[in-house]
Amino acid sequence: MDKGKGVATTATTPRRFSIFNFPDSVLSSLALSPVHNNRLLHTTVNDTAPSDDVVLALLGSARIAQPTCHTCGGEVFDGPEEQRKHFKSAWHQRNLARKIEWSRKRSPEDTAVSADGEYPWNPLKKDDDDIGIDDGGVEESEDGSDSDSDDVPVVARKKANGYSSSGSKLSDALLWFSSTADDDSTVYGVHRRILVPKGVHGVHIDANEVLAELKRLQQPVMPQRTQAELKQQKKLGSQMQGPSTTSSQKLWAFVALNGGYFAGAIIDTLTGDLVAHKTFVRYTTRRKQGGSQSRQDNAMGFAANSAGAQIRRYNEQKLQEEIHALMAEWRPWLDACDRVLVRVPRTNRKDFFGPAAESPLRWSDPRIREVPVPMARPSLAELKRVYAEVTTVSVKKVTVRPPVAEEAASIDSIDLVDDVVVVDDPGSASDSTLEPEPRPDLLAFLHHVAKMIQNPALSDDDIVAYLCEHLEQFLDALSDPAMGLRYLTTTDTVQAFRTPTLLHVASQFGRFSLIPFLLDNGEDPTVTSGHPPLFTGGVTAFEVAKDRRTRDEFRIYRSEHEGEIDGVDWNRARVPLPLTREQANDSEDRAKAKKRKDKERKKQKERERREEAEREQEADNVAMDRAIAEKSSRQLKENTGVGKLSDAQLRARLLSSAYASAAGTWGGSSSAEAPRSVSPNTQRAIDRELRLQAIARRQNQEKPTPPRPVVSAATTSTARCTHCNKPLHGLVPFEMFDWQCCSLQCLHGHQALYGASPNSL
Amino acid sequence: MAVRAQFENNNEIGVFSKLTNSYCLVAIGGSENFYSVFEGELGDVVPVVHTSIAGTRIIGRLTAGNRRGLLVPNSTTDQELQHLRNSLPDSVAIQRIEERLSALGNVIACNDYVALVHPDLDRETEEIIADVLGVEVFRQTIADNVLVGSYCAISNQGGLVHPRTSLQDQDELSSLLQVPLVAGTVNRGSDVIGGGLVVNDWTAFAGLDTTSTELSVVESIFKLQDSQPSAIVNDMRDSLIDNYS
Repeated sequence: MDKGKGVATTATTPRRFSIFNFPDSVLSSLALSPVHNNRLLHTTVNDTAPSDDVVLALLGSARIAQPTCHTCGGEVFDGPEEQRKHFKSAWHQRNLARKIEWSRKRSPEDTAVSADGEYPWNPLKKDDDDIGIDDGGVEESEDGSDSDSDDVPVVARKKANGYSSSGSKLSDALLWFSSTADDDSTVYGVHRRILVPKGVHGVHIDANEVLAELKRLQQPVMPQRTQAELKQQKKLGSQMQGPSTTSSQKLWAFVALNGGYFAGAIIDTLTGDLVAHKTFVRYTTRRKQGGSQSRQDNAMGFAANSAGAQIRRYNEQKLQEEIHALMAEWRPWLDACDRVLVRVPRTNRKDFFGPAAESPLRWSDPRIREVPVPMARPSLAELKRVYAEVTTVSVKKVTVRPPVAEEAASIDSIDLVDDVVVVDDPGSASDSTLEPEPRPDLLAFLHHVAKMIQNPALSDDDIVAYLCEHLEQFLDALSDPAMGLRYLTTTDTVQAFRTPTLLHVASQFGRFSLIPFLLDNGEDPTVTSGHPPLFTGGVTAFEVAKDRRTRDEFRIYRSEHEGEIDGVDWNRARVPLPLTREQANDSEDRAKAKKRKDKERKKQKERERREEAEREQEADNVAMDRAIAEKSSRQLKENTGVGKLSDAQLRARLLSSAYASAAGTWGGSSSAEAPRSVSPNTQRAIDRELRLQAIARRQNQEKPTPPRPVVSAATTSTARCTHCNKPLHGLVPFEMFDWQCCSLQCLHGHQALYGASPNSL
Repeated sequence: MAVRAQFENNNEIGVFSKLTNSYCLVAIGGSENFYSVFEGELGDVVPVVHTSIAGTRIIGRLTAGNRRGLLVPNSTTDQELQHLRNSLPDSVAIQRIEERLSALGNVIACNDYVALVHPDLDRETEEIIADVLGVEVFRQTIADNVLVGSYCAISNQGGLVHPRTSLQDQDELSSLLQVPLVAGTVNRGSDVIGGGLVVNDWTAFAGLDTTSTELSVVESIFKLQDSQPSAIVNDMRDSLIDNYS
């Protein structure tokens, strides 16, 4: 590894150090570097990767099935147990990461190993392991440690982590400082959000204040502590029960909440130790759909009623309660905190900054900053990583190319930098250009025409005549470059949100003879009422047409003008297939003819229906007559109080008795004569009666034989053995012809008696 | 026995099925042919569960599991989870995992004792794998590929790895797994072993394109035959003669 390639200053300043421990020499002459914050420079970051010009030698092809680890440079172990232990060690993990990194960078034609047997990913030796690796998968920076930055965990973001932190975005988040203490080519980047309160952007950043803030952050270098001291402190920390702060502590708080995951930590920036931390998880996000349950409920307008939704709703509530409880518990610490870095989705802010009276944190609090770096799911390891990343100064070696930059780089005092504008907001200059305004008289003319179209008192010919009279003005108005595509939107006299052009208005009011005239004079049928003017979401003039006649007018115009060189895109105007005038007339005739035919057909149907009804009535009457005749002949002497019944009751009774008698002889010839038109109620009553009778009959039959368990279809009958007359209950009979025998012997016996043929019976 | 099968004209049956020693998952919406191959071979020994994961049919690539458990990605719906719980034996633990690398089948390769996982897998996930599947977890690459689940198939008897796995890596892995390994292909030369082959301790299913040579390699390394050596000779002879005559 090449350390500080030929740069003399690397001896005095380490490549990465904490923002709390700027070297004094640098700090004394630090200035906000205008050039670098302008992103005008061509930078070369000296983060050199492990050189991959060395390729490994091809090892002997001898196949030794012994526990090894080639990732770590051909380690050999005594047994598989040791190998397994090694594979779980941080040392191996680190080498694996290096190997993957190497294989990603490697061009495909490289061979895996080269002649001298070295491993191209430069596996770390075991001794390097003493540095120790944090659990969160962070990687110690390569070139060791300088004495004045020892107590701060210095970390580099692992590339293999999968979050693409694109360079430009990340460098936007940093404020770059240059110092005269070393050569101009070194700049120091500090996260902007640490130094500048939220709500202050770009040009409003005051260089003096930023520097003052940075100096305020500086801390005395902590003396190296011995192991015993560390232990002692740990013991003290574990004894400390409630939250209490000492004046020597400078606390920063980190809280993050995302997708039901919460993590919070309070870190003593003096030592880099965790003072307190807490994480918890609740199931709140919707599977496969994403988003929280409450958001979904709000979006739908009503609460989903599924079990999952209820669980998530409950969990969201509990999560909020837990967070509030924790915040209350941490209040002394939070009050003492210098900075509170939060990462909370906008919708969840109320979880932290809830009721203003009791919450220890308010969003308006200047101490509260958003976490300026990309962050994975909240966890303690992630918070630690973020802390390390946020508090680390990134040091860059740059080569300043543009002459302006060289000049600016020579500025060495703070007050000269004062008037430098930090360009952070590129959109600020565009406001001065003026949009051309359409001529007001032309606009007024168009509005007048629109009003005329809307006026039902005027005929189409009147309007065309008026327009022809003022044709020059009309053409002027339409060809005015300043006139917007949707010129009627600027007025409130017409309902222009739907009809932004005269063509729309004419179409909507069904002024079909106006449409060819307007199209001839340059109206564009592709303009829609959506935003922007040609947006597919709006409606075109064709689509607002009042009636068929108007739509046909568009199609006819299309047929007559399709294929013109500067013709309009009719598909975009959403005018369907062209229609010639003859076709239109034809179709009109056809439509008329069809209407006539329909009318006739309807009449015919009506007639048929009437006849049918008459026929049915007749059939009913016949049935009645029959029933009455029958009844009267049978029941005349009984003389039941028929006379007392009303007409309707009598009719119903007679009908039902007629059917009962018919049902009695069902299947006979009488069924064919049975009248069909009975009310469904009567029919149902009759059916019910029949069913009841059938049930009664069946019960009478079955009474002598007690019910038996049904075994199979064959055994349900009361059959007996044809030969020995033994009951066949519970047996599968042996069958031949119509014989049923209990056993094979019986069957043979029967066969012997009566022969094999049933004819011999 | 190793059997060939095809899912709707697709030979990557490892994508549409998951086979372990205690259960088998198959994707819904396949042809009856596909199901009958599995059901005929596995019969009533292990349940064959028809399911989708996160509404998709690529269940083999989304899930990971062994005799003791089944891991499903975060995107699995509650309904699918309930269905799996109802269909699988009680002895099989089912766990939904919140993991960025959600195609668990691609990033986890495991038998009943050891799991090889993608080096970037969450530490949390690693612990869950160890707990639920009862395995030792190793972050590994196979032939410089991080998708260990795609490029190998392992059982308690043996393992088939990516054809470009170097000999030293094979030895290293086989001593780590304590099973014999061989580099090979399936589906007429496909190196995506996990996609073309599902295997447990007594049976294997490979894509319909798998040649008889490939199949005999599979049968011998996974010890799927009763009379192994002679069977290899017999099987191999036909194909070898076919190839070299």
